[in-house]
Amino acid sequence: MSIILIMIPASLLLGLFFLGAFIWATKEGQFDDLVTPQYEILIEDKQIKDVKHE
Amino acid sequence: MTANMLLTQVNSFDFLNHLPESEMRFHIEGVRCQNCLGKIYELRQKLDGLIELHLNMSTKQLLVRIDKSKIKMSHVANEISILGYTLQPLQTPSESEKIQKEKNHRSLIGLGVAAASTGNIMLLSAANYAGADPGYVYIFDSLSFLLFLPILLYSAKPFWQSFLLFWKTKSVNIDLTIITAVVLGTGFSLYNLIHKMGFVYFDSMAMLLLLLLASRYMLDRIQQRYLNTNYLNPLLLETAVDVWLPESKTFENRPVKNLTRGDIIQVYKDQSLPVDGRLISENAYLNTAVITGESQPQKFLKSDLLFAGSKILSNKLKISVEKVGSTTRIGEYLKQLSDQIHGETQLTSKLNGMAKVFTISIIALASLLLIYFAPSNFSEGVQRALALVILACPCALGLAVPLTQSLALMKASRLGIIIKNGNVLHEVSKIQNFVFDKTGTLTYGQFEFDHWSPDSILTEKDFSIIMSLEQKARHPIGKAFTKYLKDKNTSLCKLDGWMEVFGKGVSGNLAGDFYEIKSAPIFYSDNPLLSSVGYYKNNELLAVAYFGDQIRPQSKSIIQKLKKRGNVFLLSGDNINQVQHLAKEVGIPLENVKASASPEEKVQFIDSLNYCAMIGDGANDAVAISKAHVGVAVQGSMIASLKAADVYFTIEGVEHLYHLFDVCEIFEKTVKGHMWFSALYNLLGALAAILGFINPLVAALLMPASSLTVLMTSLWGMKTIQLKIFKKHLSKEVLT
Repeated sequence: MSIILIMIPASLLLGLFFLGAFIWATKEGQFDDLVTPQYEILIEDKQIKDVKHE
Repeated sequence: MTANMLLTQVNSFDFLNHLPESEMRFHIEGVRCQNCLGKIYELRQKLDGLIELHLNMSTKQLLVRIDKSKIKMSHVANEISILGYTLQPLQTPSESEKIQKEKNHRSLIGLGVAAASTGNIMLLSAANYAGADPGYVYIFDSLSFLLFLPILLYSAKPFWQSFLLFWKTKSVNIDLTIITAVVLGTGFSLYNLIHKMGFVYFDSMAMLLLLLLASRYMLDRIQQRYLNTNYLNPLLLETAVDVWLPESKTFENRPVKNLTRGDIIQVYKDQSLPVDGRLISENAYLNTAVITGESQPQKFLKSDLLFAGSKILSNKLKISVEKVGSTTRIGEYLKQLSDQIHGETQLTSKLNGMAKVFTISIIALASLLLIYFAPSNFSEGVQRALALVILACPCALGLAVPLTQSLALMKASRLGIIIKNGNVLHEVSKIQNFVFDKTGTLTYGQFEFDHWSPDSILTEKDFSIIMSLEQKARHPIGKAFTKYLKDKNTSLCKLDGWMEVFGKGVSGNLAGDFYEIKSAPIFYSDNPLLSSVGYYKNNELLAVAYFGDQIRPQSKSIIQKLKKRGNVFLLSGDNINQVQHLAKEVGIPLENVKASASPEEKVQFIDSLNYCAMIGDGANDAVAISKAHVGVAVQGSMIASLKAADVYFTIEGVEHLYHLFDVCEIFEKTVKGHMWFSALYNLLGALAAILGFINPLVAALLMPASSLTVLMTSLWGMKTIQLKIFKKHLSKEVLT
């Protein structure tokens, strides 16, 4: 049963990690626009890259 | 090379170049799919000097950042409008918008924290309910407490804030029961935890808070989405204008906000007048539709007062500044509007009142229980009180109603009805008076060709001359002519000496003949809605063309239907003849018709009626729309009206008004069902809790059960909305 003493902290840490990722993503503004990105992914990468290199 | 061509072609965005900003935001209409996005993003490659171009399709905002030395802002704007999208420049992001965004981020993070903690608490308590060893139970409960702390101290902040508000203003709000339940529950659970007495309820509290936070976040986002037309202020203060500088004796471009009364400015064709001012030039033609709703060009004489927002149709005008910014007539309008929009509450007073009574009585009952049991069995008292508060926590009011509301708003938006204010859903059923604007609402609001008199006398050559004459004309009739002749595939011919005289007409020469289109002597026409122009060859009248604003085909039937619900009024700025004719056509009683109404008179009229809906489209209706109980703006409305309206249609026509009623009816039914269900549930639960049949554990299980039930019923009730409406209309059509 002592395995649970490792499992619980491990699961909590894992949870904490994902929570951190979620907070980071929110602050990045990744949830501000839930419509455009799904279309953006379909546009040829090349066009966007070209502009960025200039 | 293309750049030069384009710049000579379209000039309407030129004023953007006078602004100092190299970064601008636009409101963009018409972007729907991946193709549109691809077309716009192609510009990233095509335009040199464009640093950033980003489109947010959910807020319909386009961000443009440019290198000013390489490209002009107007060029970018023109390129996009050539693709077929409508652009409107926005003010630089205001402070309130930034705060709003940060607030959204905070509540989303709060929700994330709550979800993560609750998930883990649930895992731990599942083990407890499954019958873990007492030693483990203690560890798990302690861990639950630690996990509950972030929810209590961080995520639950909105509830603490409304508690603080209650403390300061002493006005009861619905969050008070939640706070009571949480404080009581936490205190009791913590006490039990320390004394190892069992009865630890961190899991139920966490779940309660999570559900509440989630439903509120959803509602918030939906409401914000539809309210975000608020920042669409015209660029009255932002634009620059040519100002006369006495020192250097030249006109120079200066920001409008620095202007003062008495300054002399020069404005050009197609510009929007940025100030209220007096005309110095001899005469001027302006389109004042933004203010008066009148779409015909208006003639002004020297020293006449011109209003900001009017579009200039004459070539070059000198104007002496009278008022700037928010003191202009349109500025005052907009200010009045934004005051009204921000003054609105979220829940209706009725619902709020109910919640208040409920909250107070629950808390009073709980305190009574505590006092009653305090001397004999304090623990029992706390248990019963807690069970009562948790069970009676008005989840139907706090959770299901907002959820149903946001679902109704979403469904309505799919039907082409944007409801900006959830209160409307309750208000619509109370409406007794319906007030319609004429132009653009019951009619199409555009000049369209009606017929020739005498008919079929003109040849293909005449049509081609007319087309060439009217093609460049700025008068609405010119546009109507061009549209009608383009549909007939008329070709152009080359005219000499083309000329447009405002208020008179257009003229030109072809092969020695002089052709003219100008107002004709009035012929008998039984329809005063039509206006006419004559086609002249060498000063001899050949034919008269009639133009009119066509009545929408559905107008009559919708008015027939509305008459069964209440009184229908017609309120218009147009002259009495036209308005009465229209009223007869669509079946509005003549005593309910008010013509030649100024915007101010419209407001007075609305104020004199109780429970009225105003349906309109022009900026001149805006204040009336916002004053009405339910303001409705039809598709294609002026921005001011969209801002003012509680409801606006994204699909052409007025018949959606009936869908609005359907959505509201179904909403009311669902909400009423919830009220009865939760009243019954809470009453029985409260009784059981007071009598001690239910301990907090059972209450904690019953509470989410009831929440889940109301959530399911609201989802189900709203899900069938489209089907119900469809069936209803289908059966009606079969009957008629």
